[in-house]
Amino acid sequence: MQVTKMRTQMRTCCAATAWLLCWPLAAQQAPSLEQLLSTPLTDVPSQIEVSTAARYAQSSSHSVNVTYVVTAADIALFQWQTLADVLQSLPGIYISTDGAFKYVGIRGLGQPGDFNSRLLFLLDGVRVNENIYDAGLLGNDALVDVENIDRVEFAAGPGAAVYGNNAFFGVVNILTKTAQQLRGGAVNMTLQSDSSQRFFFNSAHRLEQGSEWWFSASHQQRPEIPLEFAAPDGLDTEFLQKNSEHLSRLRLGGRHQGLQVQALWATQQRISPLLYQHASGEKVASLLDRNDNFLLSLAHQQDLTPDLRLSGHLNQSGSRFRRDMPVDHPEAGDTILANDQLGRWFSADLLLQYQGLLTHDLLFGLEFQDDYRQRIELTLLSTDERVQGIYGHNQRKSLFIQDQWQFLPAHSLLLGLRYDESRVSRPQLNPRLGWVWQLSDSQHLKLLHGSAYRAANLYEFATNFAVDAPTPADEDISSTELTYEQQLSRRFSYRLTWFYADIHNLISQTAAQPIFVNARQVHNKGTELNLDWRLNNGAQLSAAWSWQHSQDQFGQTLQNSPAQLVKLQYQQPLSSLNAQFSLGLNAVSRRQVADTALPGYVVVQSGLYWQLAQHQLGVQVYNLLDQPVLDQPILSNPPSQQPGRVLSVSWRWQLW
Amino acid sequence: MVSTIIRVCGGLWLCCAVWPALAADEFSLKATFLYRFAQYTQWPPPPRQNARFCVVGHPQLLQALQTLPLSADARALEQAAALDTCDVVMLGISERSALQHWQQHLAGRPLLVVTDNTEAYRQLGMIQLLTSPDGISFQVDLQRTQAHRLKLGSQLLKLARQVD
Repeated sequence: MQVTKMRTQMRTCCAATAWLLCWPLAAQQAPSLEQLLSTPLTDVPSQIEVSTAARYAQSSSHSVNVTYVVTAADIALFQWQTLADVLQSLPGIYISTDGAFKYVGIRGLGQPGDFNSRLLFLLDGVRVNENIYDAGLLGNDALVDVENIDRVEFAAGPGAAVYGNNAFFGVVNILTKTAQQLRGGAVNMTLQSDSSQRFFFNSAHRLEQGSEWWFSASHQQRPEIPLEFAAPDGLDTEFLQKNSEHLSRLRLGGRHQGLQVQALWATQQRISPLLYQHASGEKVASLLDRNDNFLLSLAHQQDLTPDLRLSGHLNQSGSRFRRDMPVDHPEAGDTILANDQLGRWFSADLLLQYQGLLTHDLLFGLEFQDDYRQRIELTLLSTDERVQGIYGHNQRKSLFIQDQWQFLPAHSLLLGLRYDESRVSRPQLNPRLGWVWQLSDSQHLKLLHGSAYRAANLYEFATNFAVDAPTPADEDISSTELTYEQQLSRRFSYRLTWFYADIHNLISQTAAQPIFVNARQVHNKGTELNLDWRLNNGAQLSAAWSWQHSQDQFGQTLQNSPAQLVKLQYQQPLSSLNAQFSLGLNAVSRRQVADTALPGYVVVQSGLYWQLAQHQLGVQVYNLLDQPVLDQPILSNPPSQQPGRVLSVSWRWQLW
Repeated sequence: MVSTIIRVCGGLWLCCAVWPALAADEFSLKATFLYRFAQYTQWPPPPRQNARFCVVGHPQLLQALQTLPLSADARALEQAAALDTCDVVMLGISERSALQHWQQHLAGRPLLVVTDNTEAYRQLGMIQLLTSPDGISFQVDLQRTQAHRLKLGSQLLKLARQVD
């Protein structure tokens, strides 16, 4: 015992001395705060702070949910360009795309026709799933630039007991950078071998009293995007020329003491080639998609007493998707069929956290959302004839309570209950029960049981309404998961999770029946293993393997449900080049969608990243092995192809 | 062209020697942060020559502080009576009852209270060291610091992740 203690002391002593001796001014001069802030860790951190699972900040060891964290440093090093790229690095998540939208699948559930409505997406704690599809926007249509992301937290498991609708498989919270992380003014430029060009500018300032503001703007253009679907014979060039995209985003915010105000706006214009039947024969035209999204948010936090904290949000959000499709109408002739989908909603929440009792952390919450505009309109532009109009007005009211009870020094229980009421679904009561057993400083066992639900969205209602089919009932999930995590040494930790879920009334679409129906019962189970290993010389390896199986009441495996996923991220400093080397791997096993068997794939990316005084330079090759990757996220479309090998060069210049 | 660039990058990586980069273990880094925080803190008179560090319930951080090749006077703090010999208190405890005990004894004293856990920061911390998978940052409760008659340097406030 004594020998072990002495060894530990010796190791700490050597580490501390070696670390300080590395600095140019030797041991008498401590590194500056700036240098300390940019120093990476050689070991796996003992505990990190997470804030998504419980809706307040807590140490990860106290949280009953497993929370995966991706930091801004990871995003910069691996040069992930969209939120979908960030999520793809996480265990259990796989992304499909048809070129226009990024679809997320999780724990074996990636139903065709689902626009990410089974994950709840938050931006700084504010719900951002839009209100037509309940969609989470992860691709180029996302509200926030990846350069503005400070960290992404993914709390796996049902979160409806604190978050309500859509927190079905988990909650993704995107936490954005403020003045300290943005630090002054900077420009970014990214150029890719597929002709994509991206520009980003940010400026931020903090006053001495702590008040701060920040601003950013970005623009990206992607001419001649590689085709996701094969072009008809002889039309490759024409199709390629018509496949393009432009997008812009703005972000402005400020913070004074406990008050924060933020405004975000994003617009995306996507043009895709289209071959359609015309009286004179087949004709090539352009399909024009336009996405506009915004969020205005006011957040306040105040300690009423040392034990009582009040926080809340007031938010105004909007989302508009419009598709202009050329058609040859029997009466109107050549015209445009406009599909205009408009959503506007106001939301507010109020949270009261009480820590006045020795062994209890209490949280009370109220939420309200008014979806005051929900509109899907199909219009023939030449005649201004309304072909179809679906309108909605939903209101959601919620109330929840949560208690984390430390009933023994090494044991705590989480008890949560939430009541939701809305105009479009039956009243919902969702409980959550969690148990954390701290076996030692380096070992934890966590058990979580909870339920969650998802109501049919306006799109699902409209699809069925058009053919007089009934609206699907709410789907719900009852899930149990057990996690064991252990830090075997300062440099190696692992986590093993087992989960089982029963899903009732899963809303799904089949190829034979293009409406949404409720599947009677689905069983979902799986295991996840994550390793975090810090090697010598500052190298880091994170690896995750997931096995999952989802089957319906007939014993059939669900569509787009890969049995296995493997993720790997490796980084290695190269001091001789003053650079950081990165290697990422994402492997997905085969999936079945309708009658199509989509083959498994392994996608590798690798790059170098230089951090100089005022400049950062990154070179990254995506899909290094140029692997063909096929997806079929929409049943009525043929399989689409994900991008092949792409070289990307990015440069950031810190102006002040 | 792409394949050529890939070959060049791959070749460069294979050819270059791999050297250790400047990195630190968690506790040495936290200890150095503590040392720096003390340098950016102004106590009410009389002025301090060298800050005295007292550590509650964080043996690994205490070891790291004691072994830093800097003139850091660090000791374990077990009794509240010894608070008179401290300028900076590092709290490594998160149990509510223990925190309440220290809160009573720290009330109104001109001591810089630093912690690396959320629970202690919420209750009585002035600076929290925030650990993320790739490094350490910090946030400051400026109002609480001022209530204890301490003044923090502008550089420290500028670099804090958040100032409340």
